[in-house]
Formats: sequence, C-alpha cells, structure tokens
Amino acid sequence: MSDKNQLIEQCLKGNAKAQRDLYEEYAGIMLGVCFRYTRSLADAEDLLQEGFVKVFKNLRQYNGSGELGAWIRRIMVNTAINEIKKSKLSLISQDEEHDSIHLATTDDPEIRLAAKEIASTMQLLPDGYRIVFNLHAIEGYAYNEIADLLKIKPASVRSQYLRARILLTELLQKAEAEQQKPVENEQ
Amino acid sequence: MSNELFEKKLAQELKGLSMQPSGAVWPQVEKRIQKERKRRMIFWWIVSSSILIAGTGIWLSEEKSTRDEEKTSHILSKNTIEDASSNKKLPISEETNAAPPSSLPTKEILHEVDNRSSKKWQNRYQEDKIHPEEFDTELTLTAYAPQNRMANPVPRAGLMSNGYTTENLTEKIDDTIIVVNCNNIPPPTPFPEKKLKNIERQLNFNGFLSFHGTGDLSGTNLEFGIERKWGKRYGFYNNLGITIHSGQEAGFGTQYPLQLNSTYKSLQTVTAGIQTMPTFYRYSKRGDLKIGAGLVARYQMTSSSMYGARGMGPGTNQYSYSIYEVDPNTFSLGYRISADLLLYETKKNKLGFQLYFQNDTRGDALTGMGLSFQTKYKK
Repeated sequence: MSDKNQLIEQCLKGNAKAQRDLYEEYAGIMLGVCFRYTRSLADAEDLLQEGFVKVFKNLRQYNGSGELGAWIRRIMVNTAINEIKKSKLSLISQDEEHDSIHLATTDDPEIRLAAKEIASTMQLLPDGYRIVFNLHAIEGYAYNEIADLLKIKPASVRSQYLRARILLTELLQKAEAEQQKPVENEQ
Repeated sequence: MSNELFEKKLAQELKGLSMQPSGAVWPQVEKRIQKERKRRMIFWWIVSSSILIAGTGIWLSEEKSTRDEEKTSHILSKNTIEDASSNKKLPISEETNAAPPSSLPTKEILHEVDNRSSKKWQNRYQEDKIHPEEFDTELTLTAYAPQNRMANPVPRAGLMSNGYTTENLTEKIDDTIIVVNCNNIPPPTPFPEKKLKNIERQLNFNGFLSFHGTGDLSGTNLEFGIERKWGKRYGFYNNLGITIHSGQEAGFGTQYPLQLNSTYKSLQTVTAGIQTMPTFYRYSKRGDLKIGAGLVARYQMTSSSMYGARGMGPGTNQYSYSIYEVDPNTFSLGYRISADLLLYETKKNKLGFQLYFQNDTRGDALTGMGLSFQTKYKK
C-alpha cells in the first residue's frame, strides 16, 4: 500500500495528524488555484478553507483511480464556481451580446513574468472574464461546459473569453513594461 | 508567440503556482472537520435511536394487541356459552325480548371480534359443523316449533354466507341452536376498569447528551428527581441536575472566523451548571408519551468571561471583532419543555427516550437527548 493510500486511510479514520499532513502537502498549490479565481489573497484563503472542508468531507468518495491532487484541484475549482454563483457576481458584460469579437491576430507578448505576477495581473480582470479565462485556458474546460457550469449562453462564454484574453494581454504588457522600468533607470 | 502557445505557456506557469497559506487557515479547517464529524455522529445517533424506538414501539404494540385479542376471545366465548345455557329455560317471548345480562357480549365486542378474530370464529363454526344450509327457514320452523324454542325464525337474509353476522350470534350446544338477536340490546356496559390509586411516586434518573448555546459546546446533563403522579395522566417532577459543556467558541462563518488577540490565549470554553427544573407532565392516553413544561432555576459557571461580537467600526464597512466581558458566574431563571417516549416497561421500572430544550434569562439555551429511567418506590 502506498504512502498516499495510507495517508488517505488515516484521514478517513479521523487521524488529525494525517489530516494536517494532507493539508500541508496540497495547501500551497491549491491556494494558487484559489488565488486565480478570487480578487484577493484573503478571499483565496477563505476559498481554500471551504475547499479543504469539502475534501475531508468527501474523501471517502475518492476511489484512487486518478491523481489525488487532480481530485482536490477539481473540488477547489467547483468550490470556487459555487462561491461565484452564491455571490451572484455579474458574469456577463452589457455590450458583449452585441459585439462580435475576433481573436487578435497580433502576436501575444512573451511571458516573462513569474506565475504569481501573472495571477495577480489576472485578478485585475473583471470577475466574468477572469473566471471564464481560468476555466477555459488553464483548466481546459470547453465553452459548452463552462456555459453549463455558469448557466450562461455558450456564445457569451466565448465572447467573455476573447475579451479576457485581449485585456489580459494588454495588462501583461503593461506589467512587463513597468517591471522593466526600474531596470532601465538603473542602467 | 502563437495564440495556442500563449495559453499553453500561461497554463503551464499558473498550474505550478504555489503560495503559502497563512497559519489561520488550518485551525479553521480542523475545527470545521471536527464539527462535521460530531454532527454526523449525532445524526447517526438520532437515526439509530429512532429505529430502536420505532422497533420497540411496534413490538410492544403487537404484544399488547395479541394479549387483548386472546383476552377478548376468551371472555366472549365464556360469556356466550354461559348465556346460551341459561337461556334454555326461558319461554319464547322472554327469550327474544328480555334484556340480556350485562355479561352478554355486546355489539362492540362482536365488532371487535369480527375485525380481529373472524378467522377464529369461522374455525369454531366449522368445528361445530354449522353451515348456512342448516338455516333453511322451513326446516328451522319444523325443527324448533314443536319444542317451542323460537318465536321468530331467523330469516335467511339475516345471515351472512359464513353463517355468522355481527347482529346475530349463534351458538350450538347439545344439538340446539340458540339464536340471540342483539338488536334490542341496550348500550354496552364497558368492562369494569381497575381503579387506580390516587398518588404514585417514582424516582427518575435522566442522562443526556446535551448542547449549550448554538451547539458549539457539547457535554452532558445528569438529573435525579422525584415524580408524583396523579391518576394516569398527570405528573409533577422535581429534580436536581448538573450540566457540563465544553468546546470552542464559534466565529461568524468562514468569512469572519473568530480571531482573538494574544491576551485571550484560548478559545476553549467550559461551562458548568447546577439547576432545578420543576416540571408538569401530561401523559398520553396509553401512557407511553409524556410532555413536560416547567421552570428552570440555574446557576452557571463558565471558564471564559470574554465574549466576542462582530460589528462595523466607524468610517469603515469592514466587520471587526470587539470583546466584552460578562460575569462568569450567574444565576438565571428560565423555562424548559420536554418529551419522553416510553421505550420499555416492567411492573416497577420504565425506560424512556427524552428530548428537552431549555432557555434562560442569561440567554443560554440547552438542548439535550438521552435516556430516562424511572422506578416506582411507593404506591
């Protein structure tokens, strides 16, 4: 029996140490996931707490067929989506239904920023954009799946995604430019 | 960079993003897991108790119903046979019109017999070889007229196909069929009830799994007292109880977990109380359920004199905590309601399942469930 299975078994038995070990193993990476869906680190921690409570509550349902991390990530993402639904954030911008957006043909910027900086930049996106972009570009959900999850039209999802992408590109360029400024000044 | 590559790179960067959560997250997660576990245990406790109560209730009611059935059947057969024998000597007119003796089975009993033990009666008829064919009008007249046994023959329509009807009771004794018409029978005299003694006393011992406040503090409540019963339906219970509860004070949900500064090191709270709860009980007709209501006088001690409250500070829309002090030792008055379901009973002892709720002027609410044991000590 692998260490992970033993850890899960101990967690199911209510062993507090095992539960803490499991938490510590995945908390960092899962906070990263939560951070992408929220506006601040405090909100991300709330989401992480909610997600881990669900993880321990439903651990019995984990059948061991896939990676435990992927299973926990899925719970975190679902928790984020549920929280978004609960908070009734505006997921559709007013003009999106009328505009037809086409993916920019210009080259996207080279990503020189660190992961946390990218995530912080993503937090500047409007809620709808950020969530749709995360689900499609990072988690790999299809437009239809996102539409089902968020209860919005698939066309809206696509439109949101494209807008998010354009805006994110701009924001990343700006962030990179700002990062380079002090370096240039120093020179 | 091509479009797909941009997303791929972004996903790759972000999937590896790892951040260190603050130390406050795990204690909250741990607390909520424990609470969830406790809630689950309570749920299963309630489910198993309910099953046990329901099972015991069904078993006891079936036992009682079988005993009643046997008793009724026995009395009925005894009375009919005696009555039939005594009626032999009556002249025709007296036989049909005279009021039956009080021991004669009544309509109610016959109806009961019809419902509960018609099979038994059918079997008895089969054993006695009485069949509907025997009740032919002409044959009856021929057979019984010379003996001067009947003023009016039984009409064929008055009998049911199995030869037995709730309105007509027939019995065969020594080749003579006696038909008793119950239509003129006066209202039934109930079987005399055994008179109850006026006051009965019993010692009650109750043990509860109980919860204090909103359920954050759990513990136990033990009680001992004397109950006086008036008749079958009323009781007065005077008692003394001790309660002890402990747990962590709750915050205000995940958004606003309780956070105290370092002056208040522990969130663990213990409360202990001593109380008396004079309670009036009203018993159900069958005596298997009693509902109680009464007053509570309680003295409580608590380990924490600090209470946290959430409020909005001036000039901000952020919630913050404020701490205020309360008297840790207080006397309070309140009320209590309870329900006690009888689980098992012997001649002297009773075992029940009790639920209660109490609230007092200090604002403390106690909820509990547990077992109650009662033993009679004086009649």
